[in-house]
Amino acid sequence: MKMIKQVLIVGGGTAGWLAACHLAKKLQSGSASGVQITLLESATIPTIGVGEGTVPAIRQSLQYLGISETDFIRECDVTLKQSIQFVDWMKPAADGTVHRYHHLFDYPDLSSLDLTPYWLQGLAGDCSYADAVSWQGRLCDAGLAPKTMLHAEFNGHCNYAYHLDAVKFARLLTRHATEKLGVKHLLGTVQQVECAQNGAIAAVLTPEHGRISADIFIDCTGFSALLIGEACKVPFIAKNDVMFVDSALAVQVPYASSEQAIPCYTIATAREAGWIWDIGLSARRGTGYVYASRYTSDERAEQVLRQYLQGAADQLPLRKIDMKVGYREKFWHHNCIALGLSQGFVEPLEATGLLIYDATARMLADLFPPHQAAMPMLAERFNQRVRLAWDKVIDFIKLHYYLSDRDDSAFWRDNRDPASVPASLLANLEQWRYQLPSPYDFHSKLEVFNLENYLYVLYGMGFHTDLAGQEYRFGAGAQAQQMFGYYQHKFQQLQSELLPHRELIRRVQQYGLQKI
Amino acid sequence: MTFSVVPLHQDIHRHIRLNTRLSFDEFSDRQLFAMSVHEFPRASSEYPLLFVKDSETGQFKAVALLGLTPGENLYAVPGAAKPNYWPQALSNYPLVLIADPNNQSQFSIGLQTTSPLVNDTEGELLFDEQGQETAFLTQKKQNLLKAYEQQQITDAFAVLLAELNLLQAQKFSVDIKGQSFELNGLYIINEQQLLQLPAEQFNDLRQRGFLPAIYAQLNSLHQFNRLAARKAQAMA
Repeated sequence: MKMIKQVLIVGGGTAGWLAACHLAKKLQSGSASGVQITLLESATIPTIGVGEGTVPAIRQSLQYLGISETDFIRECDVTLKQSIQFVDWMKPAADGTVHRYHHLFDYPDLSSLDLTPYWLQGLAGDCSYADAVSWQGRLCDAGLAPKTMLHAEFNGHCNYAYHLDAVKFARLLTRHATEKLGVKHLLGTVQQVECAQNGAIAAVLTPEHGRISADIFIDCTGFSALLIGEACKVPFIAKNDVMFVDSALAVQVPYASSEQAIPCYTIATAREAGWIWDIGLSARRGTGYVYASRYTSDERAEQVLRQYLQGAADQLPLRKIDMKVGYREKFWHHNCIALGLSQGFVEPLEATGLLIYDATARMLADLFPPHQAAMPMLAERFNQRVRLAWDKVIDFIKLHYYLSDRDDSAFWRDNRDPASVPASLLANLEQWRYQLPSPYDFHSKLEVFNLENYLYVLYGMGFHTDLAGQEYRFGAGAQAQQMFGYYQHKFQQLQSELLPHRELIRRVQQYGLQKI
Repeated sequence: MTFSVVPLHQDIHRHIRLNTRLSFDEFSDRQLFAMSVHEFPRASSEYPLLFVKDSETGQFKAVALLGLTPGENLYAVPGAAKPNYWPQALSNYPLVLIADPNNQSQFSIGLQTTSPLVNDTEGELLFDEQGQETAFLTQKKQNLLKAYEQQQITDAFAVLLAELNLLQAQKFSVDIKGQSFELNGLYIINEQQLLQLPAEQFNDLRQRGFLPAIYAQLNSLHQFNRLAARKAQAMA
């Protein structure tokens, strides 16, 4: 049996280095008997480097990989993220109040009592869904961090993820992978990909290092998909019939002063042909407008973004990014595996980029075939699961558009055309009109977004589940009301304990966090 | 309380005296009292010695535990027996060091003027009739500077322990007369980890003179009995 001993990762962006870390950690790349992981990074092609949002799963990954949270916060301009706040995704109220809601990272506790039906019955009064089931939204609104200096690394009062500088993050991962995990780092350019008779990749040819062969090749070459697309000819399945957004204008915005408050959440503000991301890092803001080129022009998009920024970036040039929305028909083809943008991409509305790349890198490391013979079956399984993950992500992103009542542009109206909505999403929504969403609706372990995520978005956007005639099922009203009060009370208690977000980051930078 | 610390001045403080009586009276709400690593061996015969995190910085601080609930000092309750060791910081009090706000390594001597130890009749003079500092004050100044250095070494000791993964969180639960007291947020030295420490790192601890303090900390946990007995008496 031919054992697998050599892996070549092509591409040195965040996805490439994340994959390198996961594989090297699991497969003992540092030891003589382990699998040698080599990463070939182009010295000339810059990375896209705008993926700045994460979800809490990244915390487990960093900890697992042995990266110190203190180093990470210091070196990657990191801030903490407790939520995504959606602004203007619904029409403003009659009095002009802008619609906003939080998709929190603290999940509602469904284990003892699901408060959702009681909130739907109005027992929480005017309170938003998020505030009814968690104290975290109030903390976000108050500008407070989710942890104190007393918390150990990766711990806090609330669940949290990070905002990060993607370029600096790739640099930190590079150092960790090469210094701690035994990854070999080569700088060079892929001139040609050499395929074997059976369609597998035999080697890549570079002017700097000649012919580099390996047992497995991992394509982290971004949208260009040099290996999986160009060499292996695996077709790309476009999804722009569902996800209309395909372009972005990005700009890094300086803070007005070093004291300016930093929101402890991502802000996603809907606009006429897409939405604007606004992410506060410790050193600057990262912002951008993602929009549908079918519905607006680049010039108009620039106007919309500059208007949003209110002069904060008037002198700064915008960076245009064209996005290929969709995914590969297969992610694992013979001995070639796509991770990162080469695998697929959808608009970064729920910070899915890093999330999926991290999750699939870890899956690959966990499922890694010991020898060649094991590959075909694993490949089939990997392809099924990763595809399901992408389909589920697309369902969830589409949900935000489908539930919107905005009718100020064709973009928003067309997004509600059922022909543009995946059948799986329509079926779920049909069921949830008269029944509460349930864990049974989320049966696959690999679903990236689960019941709790749907609850925040559905009820944050005013989705109506009609429970009339089902009151007999919900007899814990008194207990529910007690819980609504408890979350309010707990917020007040934490308020005195927690620091403003910027202040916490400053202290972590200065003193560091303890490991315990 | 800190407002009333004033810089010591030969004219203003020419005639005051310091009572050298030792007590926790002015620290009756201190459940935790800062200790230096140098006094760990002696202090371990009286107090549980532990580490806590500073809430401002998250850095570990070495402390003696003086009570079982926040704000409780069982050494300052009426009728409390004298301890067989007094923390060093008490013996310098009410003299303290004041760091220069513009240069943290420059110090002057301050006096906590509200302390009942400050008076006109009993105890030691700080200045003589000519305004020259007395031998007593000279000694105190040396002690304060030494205490400051020892505190720096203690902080470095705590950093080193954390780096070597030699600290572990420990919950304590004490039952007294049917009442249960839970203590959280306390850290102790992890003995298992210490035994498994690579020889090079262990030797480093030895050479830097930290081993006596490490074993003193581990032994000091027996003093929980002493603290519990004080609590039982206070509850009686």
